[in-house]
Amino acid sequence: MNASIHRIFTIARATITEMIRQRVLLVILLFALLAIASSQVFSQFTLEAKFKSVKDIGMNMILLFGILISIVGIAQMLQSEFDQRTIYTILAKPVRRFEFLIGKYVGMLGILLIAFVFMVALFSIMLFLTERNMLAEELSGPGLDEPHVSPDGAVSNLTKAEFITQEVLSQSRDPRLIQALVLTFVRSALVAALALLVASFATSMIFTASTSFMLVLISHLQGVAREAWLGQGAVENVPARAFLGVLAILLPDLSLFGITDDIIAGNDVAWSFVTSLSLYGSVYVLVYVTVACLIFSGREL
Amino acid sequence: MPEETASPVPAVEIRGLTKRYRLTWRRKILVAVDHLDLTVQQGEVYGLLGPNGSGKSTTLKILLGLLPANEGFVKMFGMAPDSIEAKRKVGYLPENPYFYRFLTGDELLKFFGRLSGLGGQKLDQRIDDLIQLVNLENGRDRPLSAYSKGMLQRIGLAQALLHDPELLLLDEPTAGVDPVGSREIRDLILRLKHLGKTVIFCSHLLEQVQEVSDRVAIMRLGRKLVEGTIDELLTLQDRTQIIVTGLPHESEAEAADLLAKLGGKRVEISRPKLSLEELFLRTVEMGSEAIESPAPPIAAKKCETP
Repeated sequence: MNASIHRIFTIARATITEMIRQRVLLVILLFALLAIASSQVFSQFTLEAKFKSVKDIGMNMILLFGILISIVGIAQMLQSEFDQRTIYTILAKPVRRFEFLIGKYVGMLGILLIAFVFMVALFSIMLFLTERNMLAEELSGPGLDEPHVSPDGAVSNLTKAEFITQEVLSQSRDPRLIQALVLTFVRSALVAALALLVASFATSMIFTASTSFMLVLISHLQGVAREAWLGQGAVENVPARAFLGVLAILLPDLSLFGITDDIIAGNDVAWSFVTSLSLYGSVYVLVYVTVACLIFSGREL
Repeated sequence: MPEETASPVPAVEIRGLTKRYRLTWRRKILVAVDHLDLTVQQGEVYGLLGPNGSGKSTTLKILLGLLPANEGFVKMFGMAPDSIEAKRKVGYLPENPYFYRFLTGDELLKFFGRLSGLGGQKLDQRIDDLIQLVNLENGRDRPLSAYSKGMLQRIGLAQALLHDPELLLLDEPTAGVDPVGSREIRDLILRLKHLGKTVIFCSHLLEQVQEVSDRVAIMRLGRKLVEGTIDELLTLQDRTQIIVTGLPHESEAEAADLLAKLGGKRVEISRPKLSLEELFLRTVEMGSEAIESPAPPIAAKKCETP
């Protein structure tokens, strides 16, 4: 068991080294960082709108590039093993096929984690810069030492300056963003597992990438389709019900992860919900990786 | 009661092995290996010969557990070839250098060493020894993408020997290697043989196969056509070769007559020649001496020899 884990991590480490040295993903990451940094370009007048645009752009770019890195990374790393036949020399060593595949997936998770660290770091810098700019702008007017009066006329024991600072900090240092980041990482890891499943039988990188993108799209839209097709006349629409039933089993409902938009909008989401959604994603990861290993074990090399 | 000595398990045992590939749109079937029987005993050096497409590499891939057989069975040291235990006993050098080009030589050996269950100082020491053995001290810190074909072959040999396997499967071990390196690989195979290792290798350099192999098999279209020891296969039983030095040229006819009188038929007297490989190696070995003290070239020397 220990030897097996050791081999998995050896392959994972080589996968991370490959991705860093081959520079394909570094280029994607560079684009991601540029996209996140571009959130500063869009200036909004109100405090909330300004923060919302920074959070919206930042989080959506993290999600978009997380998915992109997952699919391109898996498609490229596995297909290149076949194209360059490096898999022969690896599997000629005392390595089981499932160890090789799980090692690749763990390596992909490592790459995602590294990418997330960079993207989240830049996102935090963007929030911090917005926070500094907002504070500099808002705290430059007169009468900031006076007590703050709320719109309903209640006098607060905070000064206007203290109130503005508190408001800005609550937007920029919102702990709920951690929930959104956790769910975004789980969503990216789930997409990587789906891509791994496709790659386990695919014979080209383009097939893996395009099929995975299509399945991710279907996974995002299946919730909408269910509402549209089954919302009315559910009893009569038997084929649609069967089709959506099969889809619901085979593919995860990624629209559930849209809850991150609510979090960004400032709505409270319970940690229990975040945990159960993460578990839901993890079960699919487990199933996809297991099926991928089974397919890969029987594949002719 | 006489004590029975159990014969050792063969390093490789293949019975009725057949491998078929389905070609485009499943209309045609290519038989890559056709009912192959093969037994290689432990400690043997076995040469697998055949033209391209004769099924040698497919046989090796099945032996490595990379391909499933359609019929027949394969055992390595009595075990299934895809078992971890069997793989621990095998070192493989692929036909082409299928290695991660983004790693340095040192990193590649560490990677394969860890996969083989080695680690720590033992692995570092083993890597140092092998780097020295394959003469790659200058390349160990360079990425494989900067290696020449010969260097890749050397690092390939090092990774095959890394975990001190009992059986070595070498697919064209001298491909792309210069004659000096090729001779070193030949010597290495002989050294492995003396260490009791089993070696199965495919090569198109027939002279080299002849030099190192205990037994050879020739395959064509997936079938084994002949198999045997070098002596069995190459000795012409009805001929005798006598090598004489110092015989004057004018006495050759007399010697031929004498041999004919003794019952010899079709007596031929000729002068043995060096092989081109031998000439090359002698020239290269003498190269440094020639530079230091000018001497007549090898060809001139040869001409002067009576």
